[in-house]
Amino acid sequence: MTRLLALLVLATLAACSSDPSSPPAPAQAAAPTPAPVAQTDLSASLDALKADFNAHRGEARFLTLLSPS
Amino acid sequence: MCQHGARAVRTAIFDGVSGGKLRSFVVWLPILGGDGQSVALETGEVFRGVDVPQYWDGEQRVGKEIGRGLGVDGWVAWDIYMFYPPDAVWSDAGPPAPDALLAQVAGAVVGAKGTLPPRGDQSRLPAEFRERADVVGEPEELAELLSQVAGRFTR
Repeated sequence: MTRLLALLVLATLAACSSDPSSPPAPAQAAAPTPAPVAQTDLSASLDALKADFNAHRGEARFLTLLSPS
Repeated sequence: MCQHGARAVRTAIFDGVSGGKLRSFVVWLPILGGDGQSVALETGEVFRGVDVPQYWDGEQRVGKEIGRGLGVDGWVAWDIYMFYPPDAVWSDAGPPAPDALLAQVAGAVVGAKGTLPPRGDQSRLPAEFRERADVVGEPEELAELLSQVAGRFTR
């Protein structure tokens, strides 16, 4: 009887330590990283800005030139 | 100073009474030490979520074109806010002259003649601008001043 109780205790301890019934903790979902804002490079030509500006002829427009720092 | 300008534009043109109704374009150009496209991309986040194309003018080409168009040869225009009427066209000769213009110059907000009434100490205006611009307010008023001008273009 004592041996049986000891085996039951050992079995219980083993089950607790491995805990196969518990699902693995889910990996915490990382927040999606937003895509960086897009900036058209005008180093070679101003044509992209000129075309975009003229594409909205018929509307009032606002243009600003800013230093980023 | 320019991050202040970017925030003022966000407030006045996109979040204010104009509510993004004014078709807008934002050009970043290197002026101050450390300016680069990576910094421009970071600062450009201020416009996330609004419909505005952004451009990187690493060679200051737009700044020089605007300066030349305003009659100040050799000046690289920056920290500048320009409003155009519906019939304005950017021709092969260069960008059109704006109908209204604000800029931050010498610690003040200046406006092209007729943009807003002169206000404050006009002696702060650099000599090269005195014939064509007025001091119209203080830098901390920039968003409000932009809103006033934008309202004329969005009615």
